[in-house]
Amino acid sequence: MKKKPRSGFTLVELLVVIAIIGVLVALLLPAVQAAREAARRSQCVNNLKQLGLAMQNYHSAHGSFPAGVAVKIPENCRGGGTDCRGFPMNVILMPYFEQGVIEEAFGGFYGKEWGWIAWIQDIDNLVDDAIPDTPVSTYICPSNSRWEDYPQRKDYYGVVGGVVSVVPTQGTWGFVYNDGVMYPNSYTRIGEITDGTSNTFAVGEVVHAHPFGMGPGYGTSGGPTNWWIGAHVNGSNPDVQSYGRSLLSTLNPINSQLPIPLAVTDGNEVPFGSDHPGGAQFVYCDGHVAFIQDAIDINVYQWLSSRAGEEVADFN
Amino acid sequence: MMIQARYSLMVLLAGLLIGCGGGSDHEETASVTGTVTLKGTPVTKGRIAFYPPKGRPAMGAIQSDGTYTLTTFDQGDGALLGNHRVTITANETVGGPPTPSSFEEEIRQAAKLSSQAPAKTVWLVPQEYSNRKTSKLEAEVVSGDNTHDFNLD
Repeated sequence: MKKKPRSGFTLVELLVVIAIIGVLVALLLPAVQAAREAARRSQCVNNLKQLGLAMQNYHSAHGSFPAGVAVKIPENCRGGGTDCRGFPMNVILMPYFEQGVIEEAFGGFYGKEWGWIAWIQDIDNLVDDAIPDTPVSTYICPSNSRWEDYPQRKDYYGVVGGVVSVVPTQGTWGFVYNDGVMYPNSYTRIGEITDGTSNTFAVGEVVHAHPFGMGPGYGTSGGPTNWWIGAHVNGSNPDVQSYGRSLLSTLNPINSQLPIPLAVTDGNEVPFGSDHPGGAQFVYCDGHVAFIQDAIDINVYQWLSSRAGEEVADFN
Repeated sequence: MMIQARYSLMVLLAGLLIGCGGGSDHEETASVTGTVTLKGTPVTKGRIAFYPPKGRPAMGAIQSDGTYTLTTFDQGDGALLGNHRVTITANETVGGPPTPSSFEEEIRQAAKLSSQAPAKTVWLVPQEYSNRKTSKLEAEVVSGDNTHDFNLD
C-alpha cells in the first residue's frame, strides 16, 4: 500500500508566502516614493540652475544682475510719487532662458505709469490675453504639492537679504531688507558682492502662502503668487516697500512652522521653504544650486543672504 | 523541525520590521510655553522667537490671551536646549488704503487711488524687543517642560 504524496500548499505556507511578499513590497514602496521625490528635486535644481544661468547672461549683457523688481521712479509712479509699481526679475529674465516671446508682451509697459498694474488692467488689449494665466514651467517646482491648482504660480523668489544687525525699516508689509542681491532696483554688480558670489544667495524656493496671493484665500489665509506680479515701492520714501509677492528675506528660518501669514501686514516676512523633506534649495550668485537644511544655524543662513556683510560663514 | 523554521522566520520578519523604524534626526528640544504681558496686560497678537547660540530658532504665535507655545521643527516641540536670546514682535498697520477683498478689487482700487496718507506702523510692544541685537530678553531652556513668562514695561 503506497501512500500518495499530497500535492498543493497548506494554509500556513500560503500565509507565510503572502507575509514575505507583503514585507518586500512594504520595503520597496518607500524606496519608490523616495526615488520619485529625488527625480522631482533634480528637476527643481534644474529650474534654479536655469535662473542662475539667466542671471549670469543678464550680467554679461547689462553689466549687472537684474533688479529684484525694476521700478522706474517717477515713470512707474502715481499718487504723487507714493505708489510706484515695477516689474519683477521673473519677467525681466525671461529672454535669458528662451521665454522672450512671453516677455515681449510686457515691453510697452516698463516705462508706463504703474507698471504691472497698468499691464494687467490693459490685458484686454494685449495681443495674447492668456499670458497672465500662462504657466512657466521654469518657475514651478514639481515637488510643490500645495498649489497644484495654480500652474501660473511661481515657486522661486529673489533673496533681498535679511541680516539682523541691520535694523530693518518697517514697511506696510513688514520688515524691509536690502542687504542682499535682489531687492527693488538693486542692479547689483558682481564686484559689489564682496562676500563672494559662491557665498551669497540669489534666488530660493518658496511654498508658503502669501497673504495677498491667488485664490479665495486673498487677504486671509493667502495663496501662491503669479510669476509676473511686481512690487509696490513708495517713490518718496524708498524704504517703504511691499515686495513680498516677488522677493523675500531670510528673516524667518526655512520652512518656518509659524502660522504664515500671521497677519496680512506680514507679507514681506514669508519664509523660504519647500516640500522637499528637510529644507529648501537656493541658487547662489555664481550659479551653483545647493540644498539648505532646516536645521541650519540662523546666523549662517542670514549671512548667506547678504552681499557684503563680511561675515565668516561656518558651514558646519 | 518545521516549528523551528517557522519561529526563525518570524524572528527574521520582526527584525526586518524593527530595522525599518527610524528615529528623529533632529537635535533635542524641550517644550516651552508661557505668557507675554506688557505693563500687566496680556499682549494679544504678534510672535515670540527664541534664538539659540547656534542652530534653528524656535518661534510661536502669541494668542489672544497672551499665551504662546514654541515650535522649532514640528508643531509644539519647543526650543533647542541652552541659553536663548528672546525677541517679541507685535505691531499693526493703521491708515493707508483699505485692504482689498480680492485681487480684482486690488487692481480696481488702485485705479481710483489718489494721493493718500501713507500707512503707519503702531508698535504694541516697543520695537527694541523685536530685534535680537537690541532685545535684552534672555531665557534658559532645559530638558523637560519649561515655562517662561515675560513681563515687559
